[in-house]
Amino acid sequence: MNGSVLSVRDLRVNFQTNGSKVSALNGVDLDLAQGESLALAGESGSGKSVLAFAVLRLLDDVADVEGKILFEGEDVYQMAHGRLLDIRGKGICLVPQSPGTAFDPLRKVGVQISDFIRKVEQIDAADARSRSITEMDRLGLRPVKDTYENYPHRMSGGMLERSLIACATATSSRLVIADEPTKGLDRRTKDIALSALLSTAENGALMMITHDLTSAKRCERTAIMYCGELVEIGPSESVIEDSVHPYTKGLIRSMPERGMTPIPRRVRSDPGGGCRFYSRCNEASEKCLFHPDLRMMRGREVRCWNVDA
Amino acid sequence: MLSGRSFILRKILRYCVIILIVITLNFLIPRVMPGDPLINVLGEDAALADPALIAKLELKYGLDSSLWDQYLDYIGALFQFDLGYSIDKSSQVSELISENMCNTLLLILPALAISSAVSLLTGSWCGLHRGKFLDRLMTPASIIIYCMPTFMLAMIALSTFAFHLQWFPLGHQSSSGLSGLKAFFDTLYHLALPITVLTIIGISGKHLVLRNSVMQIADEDFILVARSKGYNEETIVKRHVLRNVLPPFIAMVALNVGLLVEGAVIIEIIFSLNGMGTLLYDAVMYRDYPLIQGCFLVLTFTVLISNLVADILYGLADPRIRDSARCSEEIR
Amino acid sequence: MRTWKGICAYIVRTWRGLETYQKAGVFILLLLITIGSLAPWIAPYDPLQTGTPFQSPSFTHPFGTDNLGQDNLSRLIYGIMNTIKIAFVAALVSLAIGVSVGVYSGYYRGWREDALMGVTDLFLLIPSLPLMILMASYLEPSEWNIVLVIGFLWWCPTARVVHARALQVRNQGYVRSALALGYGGPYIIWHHILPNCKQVIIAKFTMGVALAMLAEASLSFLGLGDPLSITWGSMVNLAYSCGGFANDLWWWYLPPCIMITLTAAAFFMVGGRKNEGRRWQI
Repeated sequence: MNGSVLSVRDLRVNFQTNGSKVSALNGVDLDLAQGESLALAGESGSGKSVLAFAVLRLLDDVADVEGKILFEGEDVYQMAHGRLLDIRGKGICLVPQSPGTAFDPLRKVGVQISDFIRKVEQIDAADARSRSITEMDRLGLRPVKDTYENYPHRMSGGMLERSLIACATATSSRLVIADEPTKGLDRRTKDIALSALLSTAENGALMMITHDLTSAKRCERTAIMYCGELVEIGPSESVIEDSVHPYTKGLIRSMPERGMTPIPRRVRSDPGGGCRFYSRCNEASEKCLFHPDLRMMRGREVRCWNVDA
Repeated sequence: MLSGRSFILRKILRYCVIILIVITLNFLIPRVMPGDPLINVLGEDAALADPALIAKLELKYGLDSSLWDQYLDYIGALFQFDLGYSIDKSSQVSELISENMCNTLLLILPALAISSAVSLLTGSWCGLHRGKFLDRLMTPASIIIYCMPTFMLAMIALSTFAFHLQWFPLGHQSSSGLSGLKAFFDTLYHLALPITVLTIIGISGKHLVLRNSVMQIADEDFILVARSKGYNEETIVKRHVLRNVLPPFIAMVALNVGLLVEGAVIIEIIFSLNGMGTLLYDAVMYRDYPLIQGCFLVLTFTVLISNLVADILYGLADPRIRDSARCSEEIR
Repeated sequence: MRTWKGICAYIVRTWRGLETYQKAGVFILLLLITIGSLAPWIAPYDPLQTGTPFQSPSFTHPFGTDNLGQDNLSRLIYGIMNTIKIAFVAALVSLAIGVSVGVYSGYYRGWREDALMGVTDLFLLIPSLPLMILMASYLEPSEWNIVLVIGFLWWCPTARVVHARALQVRNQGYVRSALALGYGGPYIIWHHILPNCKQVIIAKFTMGVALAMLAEASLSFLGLGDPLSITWGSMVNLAYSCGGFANDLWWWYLPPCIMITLTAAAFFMVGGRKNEGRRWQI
């Protein structure tokens, strides 16, 4: 596909733990075009973060990764190590989860941001410093000079999260993968952070992993993930406002502003051969004992037997 | 930085309290232990010595005055480096100690430096390359050496390399009558074996702890994040892993000084080198109490001062420690 | 009958949960203790029976004889129980002090915590061997004095670790709810804090036995042990001070050294834990 930044083909990830196999991703297909923003939503443990790490080839030694991940047409898993180091950071920038532990505790936060900018953009220290200060200021980390000189343990989770975002937005990465970037932020700072992240999609692409469907709505497209599979993917408007998959509907019902009704029962560890959502679905029929494929209908792709065009 | 100065002052104050407690212990133990306090303070030879000398010493240390007056006198004497008088050796304890302390430091300081450098290398290498050959060799070896009594290692080394192979001389600090560069190499030749033994003991105490620290740090989130940012392994190890292992390493080196002091005492006895160890051994043999107390005080001060330095360095190396009231004891 | 079954089941369960090296440590210790407790039947001679001194190894005296002509092998075997007993009791004394201080200060907090942990930190910094030498030199050389000296000086690391663990446990929900239900300190310490400190206490104890054994050896080597009791440390001291080392009679001084190392290593192995966490858990 022309102009595609990231394309994931039939990605399967399995973890080996004490002889038993746990599958985290089961055949994920995904495309991100130039200038596009995609939100990836789903419950905890659905495999969202694993997908992010798999794209960066950071799962190598602990998991079996099958399938293809192409970054601007290049297979991430076939490239030489030097090229991979180049792509990480410069091509694909990850905004990791858990800001509290993502910074080196013995180095100043600002210095760590500057270091990263220097590594990616190949500019001198003073330029990198002024650039990171500008970026921190834009994200509302004020007073910015003090924040720059501060150590991670003196900063709050929200400040650290925005500092992590600053790393991504200060550089012109082709693809930003943000793992729950709005966790722990209040309404105002969340808005600033989201705008900054979405602006990176202008000359690249953004993949935002989130639990928060309100934030997801601001991306162009939304993908819903369940048990290592995409179950519904399409324009955010239609996926969130007019969802058709029972799981997406459940997620929407569990949002605080829509009544906060949780989806019944827990995720089954071994879903068998049929639809993975079968045991929790309130619309299940005997057709659901077979595994459904993604089908195009009503302007999006859905993995469900019971949705009619 | 914000609290740098007050942090150091707080540390120094703390150590002053510890030193006062050590001095008090050293004062009280002879006076509350069972037995004749006169002998406990002056040493077992006091029973045989010249009564005139005893009377003089008794007067000097005010052994007939109240305990509190004695305590004040004792601290006053310490400030003039008066550690008492050894009847057995007919000499001032402070003189005996200052003669011997240099020899012991000559053993401890090189061993400390070499063992710290080596264990930093092996510990971090093994922590980063778990299960490789060197790791499989070093880890059990350091446990076994750690479990060996010090005298065993010293005895085996002396009997193998000096008795049988005759690579190294038997005992003594140096041959007499040499000067300049020759004397230096001669001392090196004589001290090589004891320093090696002490170094091995030092490595065994530090290698494992360092390996575990490195392993723990290599598993931290920020290392994975650094990897996601495309830094190469060399940068990650240098900038993040080694930098983060530095504070615990400093604390460990300080803790290790205690182990090395204890090791040096025993090694000197076996290699019959002059030093605090042989002095202490003689003092224990003849129950020369002023000398035992003096040795205890000086050895303890050595360990305390190295710990104070380490505590300050630790705080400088880790901003989190500087900010918190609790200090490096957390990791012990 | 039933309790016996329960105990057996418990032992089997614990045994299965052990790592290989822990099993090896337990095996070595059980072997040593069996030999040691059967000493009067196994040892070829009475350890105090004198004969021709300074004999070399032979079929009648596999490890030769010492300066009084006492059989070294028999003394080695009789020394097992003495050495382990001293180290064990010393570790027990230091454990009792350390656990009480740690749990008490970890549970009651406030000024008691500050005071007790302050003292602990002080003692942690004082090097142990010189202080032990100072104290031991004033006491009559006897087994029990060695036990007391080691025990009273080595509670600090235990107190620190137990304190840290107790603090952790104290902040757990179940302890808070027990407090809210009106249970008193002793109940909570006994039912919640101590059971949760079990792991660290066991680890510290086995390590304490090993370290006490090494300390006893050092003190005995310096001539501060009881000359009449047969321990491995005092055997080395005898060999060293009576010319066994100077004349290269390795069969005299080496076996007790090796036994100390082996036993200390076995205790370390029993208490050791693997702490290799897996990164990826979903």
